[in-house]
Amino acid sequence: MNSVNTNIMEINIGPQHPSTHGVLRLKVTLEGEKILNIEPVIGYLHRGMEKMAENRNYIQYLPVVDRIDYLSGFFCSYAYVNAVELLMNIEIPIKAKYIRTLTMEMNRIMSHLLWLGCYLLDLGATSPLFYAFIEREKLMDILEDLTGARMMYNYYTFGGVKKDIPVDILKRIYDFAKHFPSSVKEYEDLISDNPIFTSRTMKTGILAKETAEQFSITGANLRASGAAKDLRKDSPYLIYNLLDFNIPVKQTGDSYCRYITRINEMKESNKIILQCLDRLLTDENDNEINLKLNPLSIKPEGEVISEVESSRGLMQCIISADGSSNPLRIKWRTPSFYAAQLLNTIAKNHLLPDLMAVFGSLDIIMPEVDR
Amino acid sequence: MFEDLKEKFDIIKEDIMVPDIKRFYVSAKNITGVLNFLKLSPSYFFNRLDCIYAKDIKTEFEITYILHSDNYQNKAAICTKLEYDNARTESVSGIYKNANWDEREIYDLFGITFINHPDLKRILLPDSFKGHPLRKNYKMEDERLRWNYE
Amino acid sequence: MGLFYVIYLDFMRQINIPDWLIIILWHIINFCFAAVLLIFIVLFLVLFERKYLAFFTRRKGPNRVGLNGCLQTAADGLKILFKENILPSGADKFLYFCAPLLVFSPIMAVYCLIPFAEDLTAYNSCCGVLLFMAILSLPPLGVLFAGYSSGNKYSLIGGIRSCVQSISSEIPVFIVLAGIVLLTGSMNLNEITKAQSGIFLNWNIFPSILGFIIFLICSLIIMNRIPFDFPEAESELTAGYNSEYSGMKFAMFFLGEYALTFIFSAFIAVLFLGGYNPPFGVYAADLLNLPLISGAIVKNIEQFFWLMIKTYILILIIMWFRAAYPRLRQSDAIEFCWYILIPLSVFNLFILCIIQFIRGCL
Repeated sequence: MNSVNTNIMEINIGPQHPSTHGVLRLKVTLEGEKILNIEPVIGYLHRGMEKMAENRNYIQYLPVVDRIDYLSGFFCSYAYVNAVELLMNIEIPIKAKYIRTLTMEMNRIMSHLLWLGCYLLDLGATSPLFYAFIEREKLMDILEDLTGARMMYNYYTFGGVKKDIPVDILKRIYDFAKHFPSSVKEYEDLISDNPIFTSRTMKTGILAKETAEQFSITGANLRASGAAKDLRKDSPYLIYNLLDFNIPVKQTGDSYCRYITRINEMKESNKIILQCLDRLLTDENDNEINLKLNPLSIKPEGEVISEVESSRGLMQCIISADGSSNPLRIKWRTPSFYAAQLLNTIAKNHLLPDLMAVFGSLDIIMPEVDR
Repeated sequence: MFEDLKEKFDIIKEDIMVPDIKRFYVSAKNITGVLNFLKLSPSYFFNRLDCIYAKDIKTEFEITYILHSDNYQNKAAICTKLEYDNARTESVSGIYKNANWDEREIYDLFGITFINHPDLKRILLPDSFKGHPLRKNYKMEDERLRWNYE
Repeated sequence: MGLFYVIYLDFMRQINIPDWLIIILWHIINFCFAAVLLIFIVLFLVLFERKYLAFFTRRKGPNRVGLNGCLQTAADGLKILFKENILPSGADKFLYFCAPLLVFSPIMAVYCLIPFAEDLTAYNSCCGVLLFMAILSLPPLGVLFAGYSSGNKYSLIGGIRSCVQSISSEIPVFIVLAGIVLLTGSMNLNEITKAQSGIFLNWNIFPSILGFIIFLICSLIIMNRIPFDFPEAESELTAGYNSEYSGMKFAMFFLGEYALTFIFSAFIAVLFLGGYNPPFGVYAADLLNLPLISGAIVKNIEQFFWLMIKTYILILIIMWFRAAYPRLRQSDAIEFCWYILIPLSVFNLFILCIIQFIRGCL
């Protein structure tokens, strides 16, 4: 037997592990409790989403798209639907744009609430998960009454949205949006100043702005490092240029800043929801929500990049079409794929407990990574 | 706007991607030079590589690099065509760090080899997988996956 | 030895049992009572914690099995009895078998030392304080055995964390205990309780408030409870040292934690909160003017009741910490023990010396 190296130990975290947010395997090389090297191994949730698109119509692929990132179903759906609409050069009705914005911001709040609960569960606090899920359940009930499903909504279609929002559901969303800031304040009072939480998240996993640019990190992770870049402000899509909201930016780039950025993003999303509801509740005349295209007539040609600012960062759907009824190639550029690459760089030389604090704060979701 | 790019490098073709993104076809040996130029030159500053993806048009592969510039808020696409058998090209992971996993994924799903890549191995599929699924002529020949056959 | 011993001696001599057997049987019966008490306490405490934590998170806790869930722990115990006993192939068989015993049996032994009432101490030793802490330094050793012998890297990390923890947290505990012994002049737990009789201002918490806080924090570390449950950090090590245990061996670790919570809270109540003494020194038995033997029995029951109330108030506080706080990093917690708690406990000892000197002068 060769000489046994007694100082360095290589352990395997995952793929079945309560804190890896899905099935991710991390090969961690430890010296005592200090991390020397992390190698993520992905692919446990690879479903062949991109290959599936080549054997299906555009309309047959539409329900599958929600599952690219199941926590942000509306964002993935929008990226795909917008790509086809750009290729076919059609403009959707204004009410459909408002409904799409409203549902996407609700989805952003839901995704951040789940992130919040699970992040604190990773750190050992068992109560905030339940508090965050109370609000999430309210939104899920509203969306279930609207679209018929709690998670994979299948609500957008080429030319608009499938169903109109009835007034009583709009009123329920309004009640939720009026009550939500007090819930966010409750989370902040419970968590933000907790000395155990701050000592575990401050100064861990510091991500510099230059590193974030090199690794193509977008979304809240980038905004917590000091760069005020948000697709909704830089090149507005839908009706974001008509809305009044801010982009939360923090300077340091550690896990605590990422937490504060996401909490503030939830508040801004709430503001956007209230503004959309204003328009939807007051304007009674404009009722067209769907251009009612014939799905079999969708045979676009060309190549398109359609982007959306999803809850985790910049998501792009790149469609390459050759005029037939099936797409030639669909490529999904998902933000968690690049955040997962980042782990070795920012979690080196931390202790093992810090790995979970850093990994949880990056908000990585495995279906996005593996597609 | 891309005049000096066209002067310096040999652009085979130029067209437009929807919505308003210029796409340049260059030859495979120029890729590293073009990307370096676009990243560093002050009139472009394409500081972020959004993604790299490959396409299988029946006769050849086409790899596209989508670049984004934060300063000027515009994008550009650089494409190369590679032949079907023995498709090899230079890796750009020295220029943009996030190209590392993108190129591994293209190797995994298409079989294109990247020279000078730090760690080229399969990423999404198991290491023992045979074949490259996203090719158009891929037939599922792995015995272990036979449940899907009619 | 009190009232119950006299009754017992009378009864045994009437049936003509030899003297040496009487003494042995007395200790055995005491231990059996302590063990039965442990079982009932643990059964109740598991359910209590689940319902209490559920209350904090707006849930209901177990409410199907039995009336409002009261038979849940029994059902869980029955299920665990039927599970298969797995031995991992890389495990060290002897240590793997010994580890749960080494964790659970000291806790069971320690139930005999606490004075539950004036005549209800199973083993009234003259150095109860020292014996308590000495016996309770064995469970971390059991955790280390469990971590090492499982043949699993996660368990090894968990086991080593428990070693580090026990070394660092027991030093402030012993310094604070030195202060308590100084206040009373004896290490006998019964004497300590009797010295705090009368009005509640006589309780040891008042001169030694700093010691109480230090002791409470260190007891959380010794008990491996959140915010200090590093050996079993669920989201990092996924059950840490007991990941390879199943069936009754796992139940011993699990129930041992609750048994230790109860007995440590009882210990804190005896040392700082006056033990079985009522707050104002008035017993209902005295007020009712009962005859001698039944009066003594009622007085004992009352004292048991007071000790239980104080213990459960402490348990409520300890479980509240679990609901509210995330987990610390172990390096931070150990630094806290060495750099802050030890100097504070020495300072506490110094203050108690001064107070005792002043009391001596008065």
